[in-house]
Amino acid sequence: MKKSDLKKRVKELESSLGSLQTQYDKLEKEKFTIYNLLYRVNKELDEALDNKQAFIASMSHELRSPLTAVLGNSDLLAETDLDLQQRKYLSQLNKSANFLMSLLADLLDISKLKESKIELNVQETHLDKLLIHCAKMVESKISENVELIVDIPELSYYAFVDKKRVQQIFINLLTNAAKFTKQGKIEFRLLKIHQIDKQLEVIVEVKDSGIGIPEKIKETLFEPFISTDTEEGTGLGLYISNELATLMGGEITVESEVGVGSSFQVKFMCEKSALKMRNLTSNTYMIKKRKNKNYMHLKILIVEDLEVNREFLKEMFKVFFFIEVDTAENGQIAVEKVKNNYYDILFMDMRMPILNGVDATKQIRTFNQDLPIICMSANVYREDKHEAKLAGMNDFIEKPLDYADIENKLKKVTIKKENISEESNLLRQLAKKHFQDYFDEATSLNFIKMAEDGLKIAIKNVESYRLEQNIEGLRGEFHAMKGILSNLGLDTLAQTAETLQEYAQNKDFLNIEKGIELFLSEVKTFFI
Amino acid sequence: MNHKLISSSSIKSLIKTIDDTIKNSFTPTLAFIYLSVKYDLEFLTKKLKKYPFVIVGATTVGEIYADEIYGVHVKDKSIACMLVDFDKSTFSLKIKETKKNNDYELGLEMAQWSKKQFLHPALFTLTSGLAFDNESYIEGLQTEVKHLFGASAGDDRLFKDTYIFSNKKLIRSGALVLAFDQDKIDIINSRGFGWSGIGTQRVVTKSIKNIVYTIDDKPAIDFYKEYLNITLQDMPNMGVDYPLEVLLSNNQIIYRAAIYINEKDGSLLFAGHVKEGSKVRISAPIGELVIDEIEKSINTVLKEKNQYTPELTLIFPCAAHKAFLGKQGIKEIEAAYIASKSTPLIGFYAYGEISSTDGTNAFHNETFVTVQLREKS
Repeated sequence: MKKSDLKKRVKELESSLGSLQTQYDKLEKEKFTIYNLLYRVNKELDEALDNKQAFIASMSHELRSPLTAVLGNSDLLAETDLDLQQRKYLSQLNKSANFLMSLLADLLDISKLKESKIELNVQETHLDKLLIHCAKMVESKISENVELIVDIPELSYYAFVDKKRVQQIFINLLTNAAKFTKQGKIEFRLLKIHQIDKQLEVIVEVKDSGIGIPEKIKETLFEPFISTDTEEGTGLGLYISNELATLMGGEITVESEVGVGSSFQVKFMCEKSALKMRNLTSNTYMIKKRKNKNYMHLKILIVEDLEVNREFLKEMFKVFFFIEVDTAENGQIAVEKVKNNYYDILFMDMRMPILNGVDATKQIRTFNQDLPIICMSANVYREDKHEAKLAGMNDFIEKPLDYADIENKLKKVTIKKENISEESNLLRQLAKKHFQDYFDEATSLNFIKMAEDGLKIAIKNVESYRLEQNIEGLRGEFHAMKGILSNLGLDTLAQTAETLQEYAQNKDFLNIEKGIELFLSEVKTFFI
Repeated sequence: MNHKLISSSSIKSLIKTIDDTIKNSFTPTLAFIYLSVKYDLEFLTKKLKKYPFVIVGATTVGEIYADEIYGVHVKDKSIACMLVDFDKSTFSLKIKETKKNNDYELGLEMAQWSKKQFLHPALFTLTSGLAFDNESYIEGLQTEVKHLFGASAGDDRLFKDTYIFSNKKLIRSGALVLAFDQDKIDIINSRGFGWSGIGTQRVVTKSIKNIVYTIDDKPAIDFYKEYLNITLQDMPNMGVDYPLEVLLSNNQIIYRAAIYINEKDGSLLFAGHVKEGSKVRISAPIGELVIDEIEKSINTVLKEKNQYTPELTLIFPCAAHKAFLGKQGIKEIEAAYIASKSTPLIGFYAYGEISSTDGTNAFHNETFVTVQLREKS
């Protein structure tokens, strides 16, 4: 090639190199732009999703307050004289409000799960007893034609689990099984408990001979808002249960055939306690004599901005604890009242106009270090608890406030004041003892209160059906009472209820009459 | 601390420059040498034997160095070396080959050795071997020591053989640990990503170590095929560019590059473990914001540590950063150099990055690890 041609060729190559360079730079810039666009759009979508979650959390929080008032007032209404028809309406109202409340709790759980804000609160627990208790809680919901087989062997050691969350999973699965099984059996078995170092791998099965899950639903079973129950189910329970199992290092798997039944296997991990199981037989019946507590003397200030809640709490303290409480509409009024009056305990709302609960507490702490301040909030995020604690609040009570939670707090104050704690009611002692192995005191009292409400309604119904000689009505009520008494661990009374139920089934009114007086009078001692 | 940077295109010139430096009254105690796998490594280690100071080195996917005299450089297929004169009593070296499947035991042995050297060691570790199980090795290290940093060696994205070396040994599969005495050397780590998860979060339903079989109970391969339409020919490059974003149960986010797909059983092989139950998303780079992200990661850590002026900066960016940023890659290194208060810097583009100070997951992909050191006065 000639030198001139070579020079020309070099120039051509230089020119195409330059053009390739420009093209490369342009493509590179475009690449960055596209990735930037992808990142921004994805971020916006993530934010939109977060907003949706925040909206759900905020709405469920806002809805809980008025619903608390509905439930609380219906509790108060149940304390008054009502005829059978009114009681029936009240029971419907309660059922719907409770359903709504559990739906809100589920929604709040979902938003917390999505934000990874649920933290497991593990405690040393009798895992076998906890599981058996789940079965007992659901027993009354199971159709009469269905046999419940509980196969949970006694364990010789404790395990660290989050009782509330374990219960949530199994009560949900057992309730589903009860709902979808009209005949045959429901089996609840501890399939495997296997130790890996300090950890236990636990597999529990809930198996039923119910209607089964259609193939098209099976794939999306653990997604939120997918329910096989088109009438009542929210479709959140399985999703939450599976997420909780995942949080516990496990999962839920399902096998099901339409018309044959379903089997849910829950796998979760927990730590084995080094503590040996205590000798149950020597402790079971050791019950100390206690007296009924009297809270009448306590001076209480409730700080709450919503009038409906304020009035409800005022009424609740009056009816259940015989306490005339003082109230304040916001933190500023509360600070003034604490300056000028003596109180034994203060229940403080978090979010209020003018001066919120946290700031009011900070102000109170500048001149009063001793007054117990209990934070009331429907926000159960740990950040809120932390904020309340930092401000100087002593304790935390979750809205909606219930009888047991309040009593628990009052008890703490009175124990501090009197340093004594006694309970004389024998049946309550037994029930408390029965629950204390599984739950903390507040939860136990809550269950006892729920059982008490159920028993009161059942007794009233039994008395009317007895007058009407309505044998079918009596059979239903004895069945209900058997379940409640068994849940309370009052096995002898539960057996009597079962015998009465059998008499009713055989239309043996004579034998019912022989036993009913003594049975009812014994059950009524629960309320003394 | 004094230092001397050397950039070279041949082993002979490297050795000559080191010799000249030593003659000119600089007495190094420690050398970092990072180079392309194309060089004769046997020859290099033979030549290095004569030096009385500690040498640590690795093969790379690109060499990086910077200081006030030379400015900031990113090189390909070259040799970068930095000599420093930290007090000899502040560090100690151990290098060892791994035997089959005993990577965890190797980590354990290295950690136990380091605890005998110093009461409070921080470990700089380099690893080699494409089949080396970095995660198990680090798990072994973390049984005794929480403060770790370093990287796994590269081979210019050939994915054949990677090496680490000292002035005593050249190792094709194994690890070296340079233990620093934290009572005498103040060390801080930072890690930045530059990748971000996109799309719906899913759950790994079956995995064993670094093989993921199913995601949301479907073959793992479907997950990647749906998004990227990948074939075996696209691996590992495509899998490195679009790694899996993994949310661990402790809420820590890590990235895992997919390096192989198995059409037969539908599984994906990753460059690190992916635990069963992990929540995952596919991820992509965040555009030029990668650079800001890295700068921010260094600034955040330095801000927390008030009044800290580093004397030496070590960086280990993932090879994916180099591939994605292309010509702009130098800007990322400049940003890291400036954020590190323009202290002498050396590093290399790696196949895996190591950083953790608190026992959390330390083995990373797609990550940019920056480590700052200074002698305590």
